[in-house]
Amino acid sequence: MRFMSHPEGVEFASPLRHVDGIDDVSHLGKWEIRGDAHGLDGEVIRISPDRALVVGDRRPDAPRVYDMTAALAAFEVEGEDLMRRLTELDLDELPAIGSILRGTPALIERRGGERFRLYVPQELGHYVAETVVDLAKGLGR
Amino acid sequence: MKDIFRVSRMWRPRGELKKRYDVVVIGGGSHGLATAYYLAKNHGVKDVAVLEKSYIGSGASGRNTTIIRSNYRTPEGAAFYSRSVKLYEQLSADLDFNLMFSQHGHLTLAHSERAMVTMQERAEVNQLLGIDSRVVYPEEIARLCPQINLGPRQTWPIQGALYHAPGGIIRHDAVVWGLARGADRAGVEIHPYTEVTGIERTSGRATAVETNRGRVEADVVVSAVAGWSTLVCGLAGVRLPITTHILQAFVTEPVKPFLDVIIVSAQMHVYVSQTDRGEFLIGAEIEPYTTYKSIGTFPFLEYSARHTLELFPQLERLRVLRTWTGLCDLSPDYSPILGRTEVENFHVSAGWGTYGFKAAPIVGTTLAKLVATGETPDLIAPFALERFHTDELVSELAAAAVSH
Amino acid sequence: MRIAPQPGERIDRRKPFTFEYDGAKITGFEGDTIGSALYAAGRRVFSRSFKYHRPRGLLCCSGDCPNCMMTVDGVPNVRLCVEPVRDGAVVRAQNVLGSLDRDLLSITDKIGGPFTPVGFYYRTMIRPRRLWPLYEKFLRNVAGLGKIGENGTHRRYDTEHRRVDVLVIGGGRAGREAAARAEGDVLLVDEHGGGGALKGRALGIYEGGLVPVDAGDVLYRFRAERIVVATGGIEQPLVFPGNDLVGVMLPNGVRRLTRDWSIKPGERAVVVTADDAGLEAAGDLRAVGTEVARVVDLRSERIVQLAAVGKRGRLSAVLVDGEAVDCDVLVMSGGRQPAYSLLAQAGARVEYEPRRGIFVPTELPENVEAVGSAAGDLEGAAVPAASYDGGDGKCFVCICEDVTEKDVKRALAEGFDSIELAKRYTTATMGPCQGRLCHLQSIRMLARETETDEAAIGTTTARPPWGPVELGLLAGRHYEAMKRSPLHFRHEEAGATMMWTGAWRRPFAYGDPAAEVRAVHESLGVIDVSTLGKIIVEGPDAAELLERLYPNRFADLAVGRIRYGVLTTDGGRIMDDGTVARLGDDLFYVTTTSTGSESVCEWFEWWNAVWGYDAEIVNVTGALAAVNLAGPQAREALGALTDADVSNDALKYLDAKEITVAGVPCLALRIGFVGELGYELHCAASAGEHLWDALVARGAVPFGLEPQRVLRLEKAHVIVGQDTDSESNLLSAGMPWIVKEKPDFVGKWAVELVEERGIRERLVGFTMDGGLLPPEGAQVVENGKSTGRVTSSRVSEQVGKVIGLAWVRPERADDGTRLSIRIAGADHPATVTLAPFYDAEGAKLRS
Ligand SMILES: Cc1cc2nc3c(=O)[nH]c(=O)nc-3n(C[C@H](O)[C@H](O)[C@H](O)COP(=O)(O)OP(=O)(O)OC[C@H]3O[C@@H](n4cnc5c(N)ncnc54)[C@H](O)[C@@H]3O)c2cc1C
Ligand code: FES
Repeated sequence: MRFMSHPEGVEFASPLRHVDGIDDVSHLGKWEIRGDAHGLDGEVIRISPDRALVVGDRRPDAPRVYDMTAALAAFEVEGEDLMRRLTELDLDELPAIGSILRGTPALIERRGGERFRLYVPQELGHYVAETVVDLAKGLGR
Repeated sequence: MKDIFRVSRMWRPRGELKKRYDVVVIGGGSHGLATAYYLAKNHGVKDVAVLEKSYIGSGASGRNTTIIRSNYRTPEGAAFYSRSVKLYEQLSADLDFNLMFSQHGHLTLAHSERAMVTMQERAEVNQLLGIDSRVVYPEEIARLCPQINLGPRQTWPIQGALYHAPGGIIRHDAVVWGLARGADRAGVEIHPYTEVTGIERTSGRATAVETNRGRVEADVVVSAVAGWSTLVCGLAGVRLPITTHILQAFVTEPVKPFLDVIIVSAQMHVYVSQTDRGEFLIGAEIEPYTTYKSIGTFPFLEYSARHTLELFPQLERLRVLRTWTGLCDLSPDYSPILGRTEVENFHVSAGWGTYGFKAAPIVGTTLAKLVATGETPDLIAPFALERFHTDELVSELAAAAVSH
Repeated sequence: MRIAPQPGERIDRRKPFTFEYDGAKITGFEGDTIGSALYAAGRRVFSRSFKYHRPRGLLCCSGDCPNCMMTVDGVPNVRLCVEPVRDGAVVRAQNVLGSLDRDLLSITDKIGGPFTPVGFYYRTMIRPRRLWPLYEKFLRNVAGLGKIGENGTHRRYDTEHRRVDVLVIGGGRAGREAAARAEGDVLLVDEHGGGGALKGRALGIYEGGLVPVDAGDVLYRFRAERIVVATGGIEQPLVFPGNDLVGVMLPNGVRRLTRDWSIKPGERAVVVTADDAGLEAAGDLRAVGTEVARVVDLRSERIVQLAAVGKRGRLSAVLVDGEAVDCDVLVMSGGRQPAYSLLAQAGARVEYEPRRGIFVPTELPENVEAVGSAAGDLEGAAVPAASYDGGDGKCFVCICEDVTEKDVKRALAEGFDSIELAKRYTTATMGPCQGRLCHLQSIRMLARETETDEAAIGTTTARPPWGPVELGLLAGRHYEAMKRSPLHFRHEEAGATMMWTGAWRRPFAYGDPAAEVRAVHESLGVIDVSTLGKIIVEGPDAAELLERLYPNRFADLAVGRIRYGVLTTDGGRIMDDGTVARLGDDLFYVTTTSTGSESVCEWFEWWNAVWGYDAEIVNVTGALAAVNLAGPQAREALGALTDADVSNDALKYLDAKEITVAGVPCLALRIGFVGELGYELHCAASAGEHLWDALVARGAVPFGLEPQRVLRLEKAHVIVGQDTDSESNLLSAGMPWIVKEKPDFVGKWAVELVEERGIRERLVGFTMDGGLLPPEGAQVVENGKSTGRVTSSRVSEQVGKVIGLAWVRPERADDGTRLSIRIAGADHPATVTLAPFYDAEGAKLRS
């Protein structure tokens, strides 16, 4: 299934490319693992007992791996106050999958301190990023 | 100074329950009371008791948002509701009680091409039946409702609407009280705080009901308990293909007249009207989960407010005063279940979802006729419970799902 | 009148603010409310009542009653006693004809009484019916309080989620103590703020410990493990003739005027009280120089007669058991009632306590606790009479709705004998105070009149929110999820007209739809179909899973081949459609409709679990961009962009193959939804633009949804959800060939049932005999009755006719049958056409 992966030599068109003021990390490699995800390289985020997302440059070595690099937009934001305007999720219990902005599914992780990374479906990425920028304004940023 | 209006009792105080009635109607809502009223009035059947577990109108009849209209999608549905609206138009005079039926017109908004097609279809079906209903475009919407936001800043721009001039709102309590008074005066006994706890059958035929105030025999038993239908029909061993959900609504503080027409938007999951008292009456679609517990939810208020403001941004600072919930008995095809059941002489009015109030007079007249003559009127034949066995559904999905 | 600075006053006299009231400039200080500043400036009448237009003045000064509502900066119904002063505010009286002091509508008070008893409108204006709209117009105009401004204020409202271990609601003594005692992450909220509390009003206690808090322009959605309700008690008015006159106040009104704002409320006062609050108010009054002429302590003094009399709505004297005392202030205190609404709404029961004459909460839900007065911790008050006699002034039970004692008695006499019925008939407790100042009074009166007790009468249901809340705040920031395809910005750049389909925005057309149709038929077009649902089904049981889900066969599908599939519900209704390509023995690639991807995915997962199969179901809708390259020149264009062999032998109709196009690895599906030679190319979303650009550069003309709909209609392809509805089945939709003989599939029994009893309607193609286009939704009629409906219709240049799809009676579904279609009130002939309108044999697709 090569057609699932972004080809080398072609510019990566991020879904967030038209939003200003957002820390876009959509280009990071993202792999969905079905089945056992123990002992894999890279950053492993467990989604359920038999599902995980691996973030990293190389395709993990597992029997059932699906390239989700292009499927998920990813960006980082600063501040618990902003996060509290996005989601009801418990920010002390991350990473977690839940709803942001009244129903958009997202995977959220903490990147140390008050920095958070959000993964959202690519097709909703632009909308989410735009809205986050607007909500940040409400906090005077 | 003395009042020029004489104090006159609306109905007799509750009396003793008799051992036997010709007809026992379960449920003192608009349907039960209308059935009793028309039994006495149209057919001279007066030995009737209406048994209500709480006060009259305590169910959905006293909680609904009172939209009355007939612009339904199926020919069967449209013909049925159209007859009901006609009856409602005469009902104040019949009952000598002002039900405050205001036919200010009803606009069902379409925010997409698909929705426009649905409106077109309904308009065509309606017009063939002589129902005043047509598709209107933004210019005319602006004339009918100058307050509405037709601007391009809308997320879901309004493309058009189905306009139904006879659509209106009514005072729900007045309907309940007027029917109760009419039934009482015609000799019907109304028994509030009388809960049916069992239904006796003898060789496939309903013969008596058990209540918290004792046992009562009856030749015919009618169940008109809407949100409680699966429970009450269950007592008679009748299974209904119905799920029970809650529906919520709220009113705002009263303000001076702002909105005359009723605005319904399926896309926005919201409908808005302004009562004669000046309150905005706002409702939504049913909650997706099933329950018999009337507990409101906060997200309902949030999204209803959001969608209301999308249509009327001017109302931003208007305040919500009170929210409430009611039970809705939803059938798979969004059409009612009306008439006979497999238990002989046990008839049912159920499956009213979010739209049954407008049907009270037609349910009353047709069920009364069925009870009195044993014949199912043509108008309700398509709504027989049996249709779920013969797979002859009357799908109102496009008309009823969110509108009321 | 403002007095000399007091210790503890809440105003800062160095910071003046000026606002406008009815044209006059009024000045107040920081810490003042608009209400207090107006009072200090001598204003006593603040509003006119709902029904009788009686003058009303400050009563509670706590934002509970309807008496001080005016329109501020165009916002109606603002309670001035709690609205902080600010420079430049424009304050206007509302619901008056004339002015507050001379309101012409107050005529209803004088002569209206006898004509307008409770519920009068139910008994009048019935005949003739045609006059009702006129009466109604009048009724509507006199009802309602303020007016909605022309434009919104466009305030910014935000929503914030918070989690705490303990949320304490109410910052009085009990609340502060509870907060200090509580462990973990504790937060205190209070309507008036102060003492470290968050300023805001809890609106309700909902499932899951959700407590929304109204903080003005931010709505806090608290999730609390434990909730402590310390909302205190609500001072209760007494019921006696003239109890609404301007100058009659609750103790808190006096407390705030004197202590917080250093205002002398009047010259001479009388106090009638059931508890200490009235005595304290007497002290407050004396401290600012108001003479307290008489204090009636109901705990020690039994009175039978109590009445207030006034001139032009303003208090001038109080009658107590025959004795008349001149005064301009009357403090009434009927004791306090626990503010239990939040608790009741959270599920607590409330119970009447005859000894103290109040309702107290019991049986609290597990995570909720009550402390202080809210919990019923209230002692030392006498139980006042349900009403006091004296004089013939109006005796109000409910001031919001102008419901008098007489109204309640009348309602009872008419048969409205339970609290719920009486409430609905009189509308007592249904006004802006939400029962705070009238619920107990109504119950007491019913108990007395029906000769039962308050416990038997019971309370009405507590209905949130606890305090009126602005729609804008509930709504929060306005944003609505919008799905964009990876090619979205290319469409915008090309000037496409965009439209909604579900949550997606898609191009309707880029210019003239007819020209785009022509391009596909004559040369080459390209359409963005990224919105199609895309699902990978992989695993040893993948083939078996699909075999059982679909009515047609998939187990025998060869690797590299594609088959069209329709999913049906277990009731045999058409649910979704799409193509299924087999990419390997255990690997399938399924497409669904644009709106169906999630529900189909769930459907697959559910059955996969039910049947216990080993198959992974992966929704890859967002991972991939997809385009359909179609037209006679499609092969040539594709060939120029790829090294792969795309000849008709190597890539046949209904073949699926991975190829690299313009440097982008793609899954090429050779299918023909639009009726010409075509290839669907699916590739990584992030490479979509690159692929699109290459195709457009090769001369492919972008076409939108509208031309696509014309093209597919020419092929009589059904759009699920448009041409079918929730009741359609495969046989009636004209797709019996989909159903294959096999042991089982979802919905099989239903198909068999329909086979047995026959179909009731049938979807057919039709052409109009004339050139008129029936709108979609038009009815097929026979003898003036509807017997069917048009679901799709378009003018087709290619066919040279108006074509469409319609549901008709099965008896009218044979090829060539004549139909009548009603268009704008007239019937127009049409002919049933069962074969596709264009290229019926599909030669173009295979070419
Ligand atoms: C919020 C809301 C908004 C709505 N809006 C509209 C609208 O705008 N337009 C519209 O047409 N419809 C609307 N509806 C639907 C409509 O209110 C109902 O369909 C209709 O009122 C049903 O009337 P009813 O008399 O059958 O039932 P109800 O009024 O519910 O009466 C049933 C009665 O049966 C009693 N009962 C139950 N069990 C027993 C028992 N075992 N023994 C004795 N008595 C029993 C109940 O206490 C109740 O009083 C709405 C409903 C809700 C909840
Ligand atoms: S005086 Fe302002 S609300 Fe009561």
